[in-house]
Amino acid sequence: MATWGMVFDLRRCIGCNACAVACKQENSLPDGVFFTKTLSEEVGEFPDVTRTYVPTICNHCEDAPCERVCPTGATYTRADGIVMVDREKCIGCGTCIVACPYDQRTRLEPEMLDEGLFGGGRLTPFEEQGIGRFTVGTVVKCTFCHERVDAGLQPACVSTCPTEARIFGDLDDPTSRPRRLIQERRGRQPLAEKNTNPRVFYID
Amino acid sequence: MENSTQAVQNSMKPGKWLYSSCKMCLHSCNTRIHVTDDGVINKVEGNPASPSNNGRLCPKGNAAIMRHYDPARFRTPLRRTNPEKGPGVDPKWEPIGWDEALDLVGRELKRTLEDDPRKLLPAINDFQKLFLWAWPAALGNANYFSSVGNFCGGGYHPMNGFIHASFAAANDVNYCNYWINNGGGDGFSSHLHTAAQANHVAKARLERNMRVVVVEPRLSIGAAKANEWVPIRPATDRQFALGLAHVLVAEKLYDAKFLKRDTNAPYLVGPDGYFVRNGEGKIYVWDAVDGCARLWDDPELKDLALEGTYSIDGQACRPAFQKFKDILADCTPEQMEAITTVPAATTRRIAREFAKAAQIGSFIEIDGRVLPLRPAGYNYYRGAQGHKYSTMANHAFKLVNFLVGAIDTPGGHVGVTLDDQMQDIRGGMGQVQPGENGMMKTMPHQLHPEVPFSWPPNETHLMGFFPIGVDPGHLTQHTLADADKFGLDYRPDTMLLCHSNPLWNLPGDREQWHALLRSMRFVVAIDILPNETNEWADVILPSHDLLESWNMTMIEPPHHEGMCLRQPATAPLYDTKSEEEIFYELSERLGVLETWNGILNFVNGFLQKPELMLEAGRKYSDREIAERKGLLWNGKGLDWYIEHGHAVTPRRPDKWYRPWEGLRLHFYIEDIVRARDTLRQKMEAADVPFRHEWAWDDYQPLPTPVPDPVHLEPAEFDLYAITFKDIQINFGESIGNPWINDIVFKDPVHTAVLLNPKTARERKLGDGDVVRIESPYGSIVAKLALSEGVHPDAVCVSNALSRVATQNTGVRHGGGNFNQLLPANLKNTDACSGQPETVAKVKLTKLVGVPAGLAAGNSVFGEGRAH
Amino acid sequence: MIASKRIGDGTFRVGVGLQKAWGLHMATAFFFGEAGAGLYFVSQFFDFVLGMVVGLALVLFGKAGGHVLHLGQPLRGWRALAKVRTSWVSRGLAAILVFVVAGSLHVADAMTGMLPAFVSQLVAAAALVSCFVIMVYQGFAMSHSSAIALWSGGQMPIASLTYALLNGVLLTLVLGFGEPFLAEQPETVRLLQVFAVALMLYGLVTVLSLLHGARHASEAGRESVMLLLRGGFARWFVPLVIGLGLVVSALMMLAAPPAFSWMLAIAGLELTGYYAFRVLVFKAGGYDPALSYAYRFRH
Repeated sequence: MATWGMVFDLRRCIGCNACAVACKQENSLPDGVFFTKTLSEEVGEFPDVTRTYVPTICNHCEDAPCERVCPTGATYTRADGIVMVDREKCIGCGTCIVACPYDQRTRLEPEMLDEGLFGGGRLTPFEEQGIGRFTVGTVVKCTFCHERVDAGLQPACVSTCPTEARIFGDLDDPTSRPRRLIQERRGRQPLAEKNTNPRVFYID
Repeated sequence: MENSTQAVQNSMKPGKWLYSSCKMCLHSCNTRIHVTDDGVINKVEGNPASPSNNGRLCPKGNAAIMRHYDPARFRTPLRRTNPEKGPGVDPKWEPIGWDEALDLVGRELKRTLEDDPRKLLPAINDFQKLFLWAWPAALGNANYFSSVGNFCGGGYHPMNGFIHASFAAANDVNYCNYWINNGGGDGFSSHLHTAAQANHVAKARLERNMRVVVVEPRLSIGAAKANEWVPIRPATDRQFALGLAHVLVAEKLYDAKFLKRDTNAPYLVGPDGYFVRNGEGKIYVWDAVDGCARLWDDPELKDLALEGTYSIDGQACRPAFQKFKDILADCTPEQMEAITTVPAATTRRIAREFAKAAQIGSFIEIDGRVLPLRPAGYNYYRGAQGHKYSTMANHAFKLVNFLVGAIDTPGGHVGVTLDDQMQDIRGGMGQVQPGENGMMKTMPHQLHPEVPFSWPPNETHLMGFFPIGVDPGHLTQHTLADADKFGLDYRPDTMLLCHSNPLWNLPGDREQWHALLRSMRFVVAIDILPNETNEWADVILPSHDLLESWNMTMIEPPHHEGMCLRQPATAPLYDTKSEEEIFYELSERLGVLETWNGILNFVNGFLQKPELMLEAGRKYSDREIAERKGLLWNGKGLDWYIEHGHAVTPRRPDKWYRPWEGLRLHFYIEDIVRARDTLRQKMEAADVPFRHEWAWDDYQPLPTPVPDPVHLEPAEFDLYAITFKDIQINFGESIGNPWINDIVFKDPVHTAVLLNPKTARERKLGDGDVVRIESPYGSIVAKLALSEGVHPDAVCVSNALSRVATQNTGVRHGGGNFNQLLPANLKNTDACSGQPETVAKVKLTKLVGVPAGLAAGNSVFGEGRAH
Repeated sequence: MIASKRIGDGTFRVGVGLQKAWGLHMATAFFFGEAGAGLYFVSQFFDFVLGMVVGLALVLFGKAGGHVLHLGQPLRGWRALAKVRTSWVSRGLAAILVFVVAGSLHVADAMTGMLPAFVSQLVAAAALVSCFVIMVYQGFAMSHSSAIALWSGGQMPIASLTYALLNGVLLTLVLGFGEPFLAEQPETVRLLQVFAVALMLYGLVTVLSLLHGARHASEAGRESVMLLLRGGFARWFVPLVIGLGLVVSALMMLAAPPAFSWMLAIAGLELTGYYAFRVLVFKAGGYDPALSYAYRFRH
């Protein structure tokens, strides 16, 4: 059994958010809801200034605070390390949202589902085929595209990333690309001080 | 849930995958489309088997589904019932049947043609069906009211035609180690096959440590990823390049062997600007060893002089290289710093680094061919070249590459064809042909054949007066405002729009454009979604979208070649037709079917394989045309393409590197001098009244550092406004798509205009202030966002802010269109190429708040929902 | 401002993101939880039936009602009992259930003496223990969330307990003012007044210590504290939470004669401050950026 993880190569990322849109496609996300997004930050002062791009996603932490605080057991971790939310069990208390140091969880509010991507409550055939996966009032987040991963594919954000800034693979396998990159380029975990042991690493 | 058997992720649902190609920008990245068993398209991905985009797609490509299912799409042919026309005025569309619509359009167009074919202003801008652009030719009309010259390259494409006999150009990512990007997003945010280029450039950066230097007024994506951002005052890129050239020449960092052997740099130029020729027209060079003039192909020639002043038959002459050196005498980095603000030391260092990286003298063997290796390239695009002296700007950038021998060579700056058409030749407009005196034939007309000079002018934008440019559609405003002066003996009264939005794209005063639209007797638009221009139409002919239609193209791929299939993933959602069918139906109604098929045979290259020729009197479907284009490329039928999706392969080195081997390149462009004099003669002969005002100085065989007129605007306009597109809105057109809106309007660089904090402090302006941005030509309103990533002289306006209210309620409007800050006049148009100035001098005035009309409704100033 | 804005406000900028998941409903539930449990807790010591009943009602209707309004799927709320081993929310819900049952039995027993002595003591103890859990678990639920520096410093359960006891004392003083256990024993009133002042001072130090800790814990902690003390929330936080809720009410309590109107006024000020504390500490809770470079450059 693999343990899935992801590496973000900050030197590659161009902040285009193709990842975010691919994710919206793959997961039929409502307007304003993101399972992954890339942020930017201006650093320095003119003319010695640059901008960094920081992809963010659920880190599928080994010691996941979201799972720890969940009162219903809706949040659970699969054997391969993917942290999931069981929408049948979730009561939408939001405790996991305030517990996630990475701000990666969203509770589905009625207007998010009712409004439709084009507004006005008109749902397109695309939305109609996808909306059934969501339950209003429950919390959603990235699943590393678990069904794609189970089928041997890469998560949608990874496979679309124009610069290959997202590298996905088995963190248990010392020869996997993410493991090699973490080793060679000193991958570090986001907010490591939170002791969540994320399965997402940044290299730059 | 682990025990769930039903897929919730779209790509995993029961259904099928089809291969196709993207058209969310004009390029054709390869895709695969997932269609559920219920016939719903629920995922579009990059085709993993494409060597070009490598299975990758940009955010726009990822958002195709939202265009397909956009409820604002035109669903049937529509007829206007509201006689009142105006910006934001509801046309009160009435659905009509296709027969009625086509008959109506045919009748109205026929009326125009019978009256005067020149009265039709066609704006046909489908880049993946370039052949449609030629349809007006079937009517004897070249009055393209298009905007393509403004925001890609009026000067760019002809210059590529001069230098590489190609449409576009790119740095060779396969070997480049030092990549200068000036005013273009190649490899990061925009231009040629963005996802593909970003993929290859990222690999070069990471895996080969390619150094990237980005020269731009704004910290763009490319600049953010670059090893070095060189902030530059807008509209001074040419001067920066000339500063580099100065250092390369002064410090003898140039590739003399390349210049002597592969270019016309040693050709002797006389005082009239022409090469010095003998009686038979053969050009002289100077033999530096024997100290005498010889013909360029004299077998006795020992060493060609690049420098010096000589005399032949009493006529003083200099090698072209010396002419350039003379110009560069006034282009020291210090002199250029005064214009560009780039520190002279930076210019010197970059020039030295560039020359060092170019490894002058090195070679590489590729496919058994020994080629000069020059892993350094100066790449540039719209922002750098979109100025009054565009031809000179383009030429200056090319000359930096020339000096280090990096033209069309591994690692250097290489010509990119628009469309190769067939495998065995570098075909289409990109064919390399020998010209006179050992030089390559220049091919400045990459989009359509030269439009002949006429007086009175047949074209409102005077295309016949621009012998080497791209249609300057913006001049229509200028000429019609003073029609008598420009000898226009007719007034256009009909407009044909096809995937074109000139009211958005064209520079100049909106009111004047609206007046032009109001003066139209009849406007027909072929389109998918409502926009600023087609809301003026009398009839809408709705076309299929990219997920419903057939096509075959490979447009402007830098490092790859081979046709890309587009095939329908579903039956059309609505009562729409393909563009092919629409134009065939109109051709039939206008009696030009035969001519149209003849033109299609020519522009699609079917003439090259007679078995593919279209029969004169038949109408063909999009599928049939696509099939022929596939067959023309590699002899494979549609079944093969459906199975493979594309015929894309890396560009073959023999067609990519030095396809002109044995010919000399145009370091010095004598054809520009010739074009000037030929035009002058024609204008003299026709006694054109404004010939003395014509900017004859714009025609320079070598670039000079003369400042563009934008710098000479009144001093009160103390800042430079520029516009930019990031990758999410590359090539525009995607605002209104909910997924694109969802990422674009969450980035503050797309909801406010950017100003340097120090500049703001000096003007007592603050973050979030609402300002009027006023140029001598127009004004817009915007909120300010302060950013350190902005040159202190620049005001940067995202293209996302340039939409105005339309019938498409998904489109958030900004505070007016950036383009109305720009002049649409001859004074700011390159008389050589037709390229208009794309930078505006502006002043900022603080307003108390957002003007009421702008704050209301679905604007970027509004609160609440992201779109 | 793109150059230096540190609050992400939902845009795609690296910065401190403010939590939006817990809002007014949750703040109201927390408010009633610590008001009701505190009141019950103090009341049970005095066998003050009205106080116990009101305390139970505040927890049952105020706190639970607030939670039900907050939940995305309230009908499944019972599921929250599932993870008592790890989740403070589960523990809290269990405590509420025990408290409501045991508290009600205890009140009935206090009024009728229906339970045998041993059972009566057991029920009283269960009610008191579960009540105590309610008085502190909200603080633990917040500080358990290491994501939000403002909450996670370890002072939050102490703040909960302090506020709950303070609320309990003040509400007892108000509700029980005319009751024999106070009316007949002025020294008890004095004692409770002293208790209240002590708790107010203790609460003041706890809140300041909480801010102090958060200020130096992380970037988000600093931004949260800035929001509360200098930024958009300062005009509420400083006068209401610090000023009226703790300082002014403490001074008034020191000077207060044993008059109902004084007790009512002080309780009103303190509860207002406490409600503001609940709302504003939620609103100002911020996440640290997952990765930030500008932060390093600037500081």
